[in-house]
Amino acid sequence: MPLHIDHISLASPHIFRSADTLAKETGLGYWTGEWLRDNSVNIVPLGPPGNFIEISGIIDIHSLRKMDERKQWLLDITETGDHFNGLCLGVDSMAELEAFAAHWKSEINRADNPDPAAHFQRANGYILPMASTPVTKRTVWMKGLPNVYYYPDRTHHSSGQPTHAVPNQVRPTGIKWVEVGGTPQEMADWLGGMKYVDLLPLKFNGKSLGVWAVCVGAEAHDDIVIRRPAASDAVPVSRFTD
Amino acid sequence: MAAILDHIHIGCTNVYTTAFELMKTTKLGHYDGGFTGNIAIGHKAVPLGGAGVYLEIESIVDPFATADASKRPWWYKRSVAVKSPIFSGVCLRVNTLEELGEIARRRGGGIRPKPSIRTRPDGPEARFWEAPYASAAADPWESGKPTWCCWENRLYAHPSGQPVVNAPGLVAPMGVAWMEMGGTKAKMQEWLGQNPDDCNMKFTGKPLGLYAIGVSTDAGEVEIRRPSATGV
Repeated sequence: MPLHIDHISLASPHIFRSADTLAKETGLGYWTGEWLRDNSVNIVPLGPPGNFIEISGIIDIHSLRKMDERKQWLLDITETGDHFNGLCLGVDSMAELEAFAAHWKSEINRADNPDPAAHFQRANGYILPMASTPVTKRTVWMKGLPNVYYYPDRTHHSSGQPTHAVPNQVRPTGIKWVEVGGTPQEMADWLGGMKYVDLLPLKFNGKSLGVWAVCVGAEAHDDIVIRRPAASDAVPVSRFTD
Repeated sequence: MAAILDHIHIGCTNVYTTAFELMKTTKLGHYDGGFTGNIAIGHKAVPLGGAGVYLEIESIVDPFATADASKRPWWYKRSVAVKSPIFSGVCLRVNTLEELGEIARRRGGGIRPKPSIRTRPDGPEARFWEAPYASAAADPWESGKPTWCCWENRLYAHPSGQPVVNAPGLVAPMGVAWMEMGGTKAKMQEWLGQNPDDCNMKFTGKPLGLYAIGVSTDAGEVEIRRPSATGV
């Protein structure tokens, strides 16, 4: 399978409350415990062929005594509540990932980086190997743009892990569409051609860049639409143009 | 009926690193317990076996709810000050609210007017009542004294009895073999109103508080040592 949507990041001021609220709103279950230093994610699997929402946030407020641009961005976009802050695409081979890296004239964050502190790890210590591109001085998410991932081993992919048994739980059947800001042409310019945009179930609303809504199918249930403002609604991408 | 040990609180700045490091060094498993709403606390639990005992690890997880530093719990500030997770408190358990009320009255207080409520990841709330409480008085834990609790619903889904995250090499906990406390046995007996031996407490004469516990496991005894609420 070529370029596809892998996951969507939802930045939150309180990842436990946000996951609980989303579960009560939608019946979508989630699992917990993955963390990297001062950040943690609660994962909402969206069904086959392997998509998920990661509800991410700062869980160590003591770390904020040393601020950097990324932390400030996370605080700024979550001060007024949850905001979608990342669209994460996927490819199925290292060759495809390298092609995107070449397009962006970038390096690759390698899956085999030996430093455990460089990876998210789960509550049992497991680290899901993943590679991504582009590598930039600040994440392209801050500009409302997607990055691309490749997993050398998908057997433990985040979308396939068991969730807590939430009340009135539904069984998701995958992403139907994702509403993003901007235009198809802007996305084509970023990805390197309209042929890539055509592969993705995206709806463009012409607003500021980033994710604005996710529609998920569910067994014996109406489609579930999760609508939150994009991070660019709270912090304009123009702040990060240098 | 004498109260028994229910849980031991560890206050810290990062609930993830604290639980993971504890698991790595002791092979005691843990799980996500959810969150409490009042001061935006994240929670992980480490079942310790025995008669239903667990470690409760907590930290602040919402930067905005506690942007005003005065809202941060005393144990969080102390953990920052000593640059370590701390043993913030010991909580004993009784079976009925009548017993809890009697214990509170003997210490010149009452039962805390609102229960402690935690939203678990699977939805239902865990609720227990605490004592002693007096509106103008500091939390007894802050001065190293144990408190008491009473769970609702006959200990339904008690934190000590929930499954832990499956991780390699975990041991099976079989109860708290001993607790190393500051102060003296006589003073503790006076505060508890029962023999501290009931809770396997031993005393060092240091400032009040809990300094270490020994946990029996199927692979031998595990010692956990942290700064206490009052001393290092």
